[in-house]
Amino acid sequence: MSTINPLKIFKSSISVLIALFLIQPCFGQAKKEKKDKKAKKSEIPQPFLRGIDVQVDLASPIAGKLLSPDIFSSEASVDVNLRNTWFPVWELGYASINHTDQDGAQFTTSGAFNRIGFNISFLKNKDVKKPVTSLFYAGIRVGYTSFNYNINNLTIIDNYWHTTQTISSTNNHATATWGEFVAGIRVDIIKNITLGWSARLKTGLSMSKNVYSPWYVPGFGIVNGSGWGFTYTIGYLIPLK
Amino acid sequence: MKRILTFLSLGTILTLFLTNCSNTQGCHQNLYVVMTAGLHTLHNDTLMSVIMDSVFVKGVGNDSILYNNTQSVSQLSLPLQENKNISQFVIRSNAIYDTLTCYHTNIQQFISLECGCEINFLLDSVKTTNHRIKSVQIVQKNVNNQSIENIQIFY
Repeated sequence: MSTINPLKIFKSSISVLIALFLIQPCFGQAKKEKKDKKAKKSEIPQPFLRGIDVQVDLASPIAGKLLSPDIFSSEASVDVNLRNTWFPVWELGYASINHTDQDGAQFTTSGAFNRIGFNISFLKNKDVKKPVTSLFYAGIRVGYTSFNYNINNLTIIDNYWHTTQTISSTNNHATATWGEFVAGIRVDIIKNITLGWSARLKTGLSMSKNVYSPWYVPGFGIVNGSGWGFTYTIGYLIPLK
Repeated sequence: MKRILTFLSLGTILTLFLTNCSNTQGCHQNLYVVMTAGLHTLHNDTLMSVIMDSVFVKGVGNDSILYNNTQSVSQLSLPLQENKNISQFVIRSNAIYDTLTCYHTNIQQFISLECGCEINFLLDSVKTTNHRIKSVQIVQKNVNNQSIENIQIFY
């Protein structure tokens, strides 16, 4: 039966420690090599212009038909993929409204609207070989429209004196600007064909002053509404690099 | 294919749900504008408020009574005609009748399609019969939704 020699244990421990100390730079070297490889990979420049995506909104015309038949609005957008991260956007649309209130007051308008802004992709896509097709993004927009509108059959009811008067105001012209915060997703379904969904909060509406202000602003929506808007788009991606 | 269907369904549900939530309708604004008439007397050239009992007030040509033997009245709230430029009121106190006539310009202020217009007024002139009322004068010609004294009726 062998006995445990404390001196032997001490000597062995020292040897193991020395050995570890000696091989430690080798581990460091391996880590450094990995870092260098990563650095080399990220040094490959991401092409600036990656693609152009054309989207058409499907939600507004369909939801409008189902939920608010008196509101027709449709829009399309073009965005440019810069380095798979930044996406400058131009949105162009048209709205036509023929709304009659429960008291019989009627509001009609039609006009085009424009929005410009950009999206930022939240998904880290450093694959330099192909442009990103699926996105999770947030962005901002600035909207502008210039339109004519009519207000008819606006009834003034005097409840005490029991009299009524009907007034109309036609050929009013207004210009409006506003801002939007956008968040959305876009997925590639078939080669280069994408589906997208976005929610947007519209705010800061500024309009030219009129005696009879509009009920609806093309591109912005109902003036005294919640300010929320939604798009449901189908698009085609034109890859460039 | 499964991914496309999931995306389509989720997008449709969210759009319909949020669009429904975002619908707002109806008018929630108070559009009732009245002219305020203070009841006063002059005692040694000092303006004093008068509190009257058994006050009866109604519009001329209108069956709706505004004050019906009301007690402790020092101020009258009188709705002007929104669709005409003249408003007349019968004011009775101590069984004596007077007729107050107000000439006004109506200012339509469009609020929204749901609410319509709020009518504000600009008092042009006022006159009264002098059975019990001695005189009447305009102190604030703009009649709007701010409850301030527009005319003073002197007894």
